[in-house]
Amino acid sequence: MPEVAEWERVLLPDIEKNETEWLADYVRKGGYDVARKALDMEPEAIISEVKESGLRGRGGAGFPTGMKWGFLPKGAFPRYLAVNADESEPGTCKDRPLMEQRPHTLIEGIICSCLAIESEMAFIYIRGEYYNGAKILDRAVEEAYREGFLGSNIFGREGRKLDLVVHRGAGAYICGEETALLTSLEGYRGYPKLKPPFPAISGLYGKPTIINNVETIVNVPFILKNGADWFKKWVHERTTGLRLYSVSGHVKKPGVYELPPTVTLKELIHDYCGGMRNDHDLKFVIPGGSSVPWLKPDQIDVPMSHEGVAAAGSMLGSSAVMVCDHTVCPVWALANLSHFYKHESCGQCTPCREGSGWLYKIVRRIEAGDGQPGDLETLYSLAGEGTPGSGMISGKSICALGDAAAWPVGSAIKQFREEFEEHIQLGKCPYKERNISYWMAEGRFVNESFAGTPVP
Amino acid sequence: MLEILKDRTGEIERLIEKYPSRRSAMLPLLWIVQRQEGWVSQESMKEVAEILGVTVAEVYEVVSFYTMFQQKPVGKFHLALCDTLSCAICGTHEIVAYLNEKYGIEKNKVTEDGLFSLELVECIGACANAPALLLNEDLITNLTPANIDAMIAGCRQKAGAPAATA
Amino acid sequence: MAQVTKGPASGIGATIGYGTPAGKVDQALEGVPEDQILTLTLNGEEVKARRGETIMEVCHRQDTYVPHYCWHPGLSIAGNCRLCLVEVEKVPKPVIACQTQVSPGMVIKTASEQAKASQEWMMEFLLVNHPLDCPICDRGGECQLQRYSMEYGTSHSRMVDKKRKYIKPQADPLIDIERNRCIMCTRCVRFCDEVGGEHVMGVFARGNDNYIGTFGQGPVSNIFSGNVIDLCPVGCLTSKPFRFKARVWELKQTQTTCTQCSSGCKITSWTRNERLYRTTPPSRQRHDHFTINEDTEEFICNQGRFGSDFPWHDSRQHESMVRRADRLVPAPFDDAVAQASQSLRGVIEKHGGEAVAVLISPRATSEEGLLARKLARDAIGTWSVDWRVNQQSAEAADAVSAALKAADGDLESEPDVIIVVNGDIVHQSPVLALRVQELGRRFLKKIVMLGHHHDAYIADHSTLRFHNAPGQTAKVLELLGNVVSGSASVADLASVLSRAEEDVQELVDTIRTAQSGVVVQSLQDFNGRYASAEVPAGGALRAALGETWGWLPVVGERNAVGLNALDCEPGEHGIAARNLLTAISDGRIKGLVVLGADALQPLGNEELVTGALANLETFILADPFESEFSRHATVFFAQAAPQETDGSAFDIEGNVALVKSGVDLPGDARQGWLILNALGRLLAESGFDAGSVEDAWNQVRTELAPESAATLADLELEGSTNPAHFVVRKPQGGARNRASEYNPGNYRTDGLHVRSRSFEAPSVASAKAKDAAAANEGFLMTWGPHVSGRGYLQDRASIAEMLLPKPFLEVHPRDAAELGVKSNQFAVLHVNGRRAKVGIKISKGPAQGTVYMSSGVYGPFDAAENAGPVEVKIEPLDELVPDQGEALMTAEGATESH
Repeated sequence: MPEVAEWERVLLPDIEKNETEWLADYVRKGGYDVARKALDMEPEAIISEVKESGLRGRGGAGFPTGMKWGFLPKGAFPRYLAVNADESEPGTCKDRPLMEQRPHTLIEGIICSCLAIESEMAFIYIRGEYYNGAKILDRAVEEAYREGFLGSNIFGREGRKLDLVVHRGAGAYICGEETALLTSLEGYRGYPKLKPPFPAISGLYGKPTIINNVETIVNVPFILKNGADWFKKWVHERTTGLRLYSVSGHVKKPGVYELPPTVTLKELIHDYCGGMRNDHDLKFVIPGGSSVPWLKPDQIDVPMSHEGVAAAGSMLGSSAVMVCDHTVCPVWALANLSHFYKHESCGQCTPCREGSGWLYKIVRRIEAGDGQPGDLETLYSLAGEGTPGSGMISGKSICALGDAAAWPVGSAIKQFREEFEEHIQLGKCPYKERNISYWMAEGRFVNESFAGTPVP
Repeated sequence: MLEILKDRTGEIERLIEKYPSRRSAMLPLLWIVQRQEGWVSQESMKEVAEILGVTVAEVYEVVSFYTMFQQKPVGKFHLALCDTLSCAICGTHEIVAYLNEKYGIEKNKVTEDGLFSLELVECIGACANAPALLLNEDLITNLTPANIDAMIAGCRQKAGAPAATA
Repeated sequence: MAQVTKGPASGIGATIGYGTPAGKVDQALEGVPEDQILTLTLNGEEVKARRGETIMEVCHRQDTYVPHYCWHPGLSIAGNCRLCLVEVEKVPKPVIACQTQVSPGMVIKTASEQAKASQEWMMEFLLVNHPLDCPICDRGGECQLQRYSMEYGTSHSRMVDKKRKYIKPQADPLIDIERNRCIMCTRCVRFCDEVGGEHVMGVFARGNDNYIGTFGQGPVSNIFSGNVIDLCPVGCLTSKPFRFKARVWELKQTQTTCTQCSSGCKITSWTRNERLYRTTPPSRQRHDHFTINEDTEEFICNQGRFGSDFPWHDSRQHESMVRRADRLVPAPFDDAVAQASQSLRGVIEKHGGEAVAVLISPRATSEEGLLARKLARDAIGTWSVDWRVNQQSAEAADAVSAALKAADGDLESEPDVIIVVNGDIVHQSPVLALRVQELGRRFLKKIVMLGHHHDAYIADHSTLRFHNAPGQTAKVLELLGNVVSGSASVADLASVLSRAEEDVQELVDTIRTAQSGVVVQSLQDFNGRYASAEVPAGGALRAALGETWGWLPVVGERNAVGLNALDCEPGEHGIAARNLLTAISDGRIKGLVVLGADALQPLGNEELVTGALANLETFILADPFESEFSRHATVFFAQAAPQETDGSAFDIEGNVALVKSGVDLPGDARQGWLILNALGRLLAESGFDAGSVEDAWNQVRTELAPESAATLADLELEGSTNPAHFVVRKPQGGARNRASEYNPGNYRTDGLHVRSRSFEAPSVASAKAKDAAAANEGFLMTWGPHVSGRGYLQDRASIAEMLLPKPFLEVHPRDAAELGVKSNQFAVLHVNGRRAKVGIKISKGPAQGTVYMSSGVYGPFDAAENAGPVEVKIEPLDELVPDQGEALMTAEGATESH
């Protein structure tokens, strides 16, 4: 097992300390020097450096950032930058420490990015649950304004201006979808917009808008400071740079790990995270946030890059790894996730609104022991193979939430078909009694009414 | 003519000025209401509508969309306990059962003394420190029966209530 | 019945009508520049399309039906039902036809395997939670969900779980909401926001549990709200008055026009035997039957929809009656006619024909108008015939007549600029206001608001607004004309308007650069008190604007244009309606013939009118109802109500249309033209030989359009392409500006509202509490009529009380801030020593310093009693107008627990 210290950590070098780096500290360590440098760069130069670095969006879709910036129509102003800090994909918890610990790195990243896309106004859309993150950002933004890094004539440059607003969401997963984030920011229900037109053409208030994830933006000043080649030191196929992996679930040391894309899922779980909690067996892993297809233990020896995970039949997504041990009933886990998507569907379009509800009802029923023959066929036809475009939902909805609701279902059935069938045949969940004995043996709190792990 | 927000007009105007569109202040205004009142009442929705120049139906559309806005009064200490997979497999229901059994705190109910209410919510972004909950605005992570006891005791102390009788 | 197209064939909607007749395809692309035309393949056939068009528009023009729920040609694109998914080659996923714009070389397949599967799946999703209770659903028989299930769905459902259930709210007195049947297409939400003018309906909650409704279960408070019933493709929104009264296939449909106001909307009367069951926008042919077209853009107002059943009021009189001693006794029609002619002859012989006056309801058909005029002039020998009963004075009435005669403007030509002068048009001629608003909202035409009171509904979509003090409008119009023609300076106008010169310059530039325009001038304020000054000023402005402009003076009376064109007016020799009561009391008038007692009611309060009637030697009344007036009749004819009458009438833009009865008349009741004809035949030797309404129509046609050979039946054909169609209008100078096309880009494509939110919301910082008592005094109150206000006929509708506008006082936002009042707060209004409790409504309508109230609303402030704008005092109360809703909103959501 490689020592963690062997790895260079850039974004969150001191994550364990959990301290906020305020402006004075940040400036003392050379903070905002890159922003000063960027002020003298041509916007195209910044964009081409970022393009060259191969930086890809860290929110989930993995779209090349430089290319996204290049979509802005020439001469169309004002333009806006919206930083997606809605981090709502279950399993993902990497942007929260970034914002809480390094708010000024984010602000500097925003300044650099706005210089690249020639925007004079940026928003950080932070999810409502991150009270503390919002407070820290508010204070950091205030510091930056006071210091003249934000506002008009930034860094003393006549006519250069940038306003930054921290905008809090209020509990809606869908607002992490980039166009829903914009409608939410405009003061509406967080409904994804019909595309095209894409936000780079017509986004916030109908103006060209770029939406980037927090981690993506935080990487920008490092790339400008050290160069694209430095960033490409860490590379697996077309995935470059260090990346924050959120690991949760049944591992000994869950946490946020900053690692290169060459690290394998197996190393991540067994080496960095210390292996399975209570030395249980691994049942399945969800490698990229709750929306992506599941992987079985024999599929985890793959690099955690977009390409590596894709080769294993799943997606890197937001690089959030959810690890489930052998006490986790896959049917129950699926019901939990299906409930999530039913709850978080915005309800705007038919396939997602009705499909997510229907999926949940069926999975929940199977889990509760009321499964019927034919249920799996219905689920399959609804959710398809867990691949884009297959089934009745995926590819038919306004945004990708429909796909996200369908994929786990398709993949769970594909991976654990026998267990689904067993539920239907037995008319109950075979895990429940077994688990209670496990937990009692572990001295955990179990009461009469608590038979298993019911979904709310 | 504002009642609920009448003392905050300066703050509200400054807030609205930050945005290119008045309506963008919708969520921030509702947050101001909720922070002040603990929940978002029909009356306060009417005031928000008046300030933003939209219909109250438009405000209600927004309030009812975002699940963090409480449409009914909640306890002085509102517990939003995460119940999505990462937390759920690490013991969310253990916590629910414990809160229920030891402290009589039930899901979607306010305790009789008005101190506590419990809501099961979807992922709150603390997956690596599961299970986790939001105690009003504070994130409490790595929940166990033991630190639940400490948390509840702290709340009671803050509220000047007698210690738990459990 | 002649061939009827599925879509609207005239009006604004025509540009995007579908199911079009041959030739429409080429027509749609006519005049489009070559570089804007592209070629694509639709279901294997090469077709041309305009750049920027959506697949849906091209399909419908090509008669290729693509199923859809959320898409509606008159509303913004929501793209949420996903039923219009079609296959486009080289695109991996199916795309929605309603929003996807065509591109060159696109290969579209609307019925491929992929497209059909997608449509079938969406149908299955929509039925997952939809109850299968068609037998007890009021939409049965005209339900789009039923229809699509047959055409695009599968025959069985795989859904075995419990369906979602919602609590049923009692939100609106007119519209029933059954949320379990809702498919969340949001047509109703978008309609209220865009067409209705206010976002009163919304989508609440989220995801699988979301639902439509109103805040606090309040009513859907706009005058067009009934249209959501037709727009609803399923059984979610149904008509409360009509619910469970009849199955639609049992009813007879009659294509006619509404008799409520001067908009003259095309409607369908749904009747059985002698009863009207419901009124809807025109039904259209689909396959072998007629049904409401859920894509109709021919929206109608609530008064027309719900307020048309007054003929079935309890006071309906079925028999003609004659006076025997002190009592009216039933008599056969012929006896009544004989007695009436005899008693009229008596008056004529004794006092001369000049001592008789003929009053006619403004709702009368042109045929009735013509015969009434002939009866007066030719048979009786009097000039005193009049329809102008609502105007404040004889001078005002003459001004209205002059304006209608000179009118030459319309909206159909889609003018670049619409100058709207004064008025609460949306409550006087609702659909006319809707069409003006639509020109601004959808076609991005410029709307300029002038006058002392602006139509708040239209003002929402206006580009420029200039208020002036009451009484100053004439001066502003004249001056504006002079500025445009160069004989006055911008500075002069700016000082009268108290506005910056650059604002006024913008107004002048807007007008000067317009290719075409129309001045829409309301003559209804304070029932036309200022008309005598404002009409000449409007005429002068129109003259100054030049050839390409038109003038459209607006009054609300149904057939004002027709009765005016047929000269049913006293001219300078006769006695105007407004002076009638005086003429009776000073003995100049001894005999009176009235067609429709609704012509008597506006002349004064009941006591005054009946007092005058008692002084008459003979009083011949034709009316459907027994009333205070009928008790004084010498002879009473049981008349058909306006919507039971056959004939023709003109809308305010001068278009002729058919009015057709769909019911059997009760008892011995007769249509008005028949009564007048019979009476005339006994009084005159010739001229009254109409054996049928067709004969009467021929007389009208000969007089107004001698070159036309149209029959009355021809009028059933739609719109201006119909050879029978003619307009009582001077030809408008400007070229018809038909090129303007509906552009989907005009809408935000995200399903959110499109309205500019320029509403002057009170700045919270300036919302100071009222400081002194003086702040609430010195407001000038103005008013205008309301189509659903109190009235002889309106009051007899079965749900008149529900339609009656609530007593709300419209207040300017800045005045409201000064007063420290908010919308929905109660206030006491002091006027002429009287007090009344009213609700406050912050509105764009009134000028600062003035307040506005619909005169139909409130008795004490009736125009008949007050001569003009009056000073009022407003005393805010610490009390709010209660919400109509009952339960706590959170109880409204899905009841199913997770």
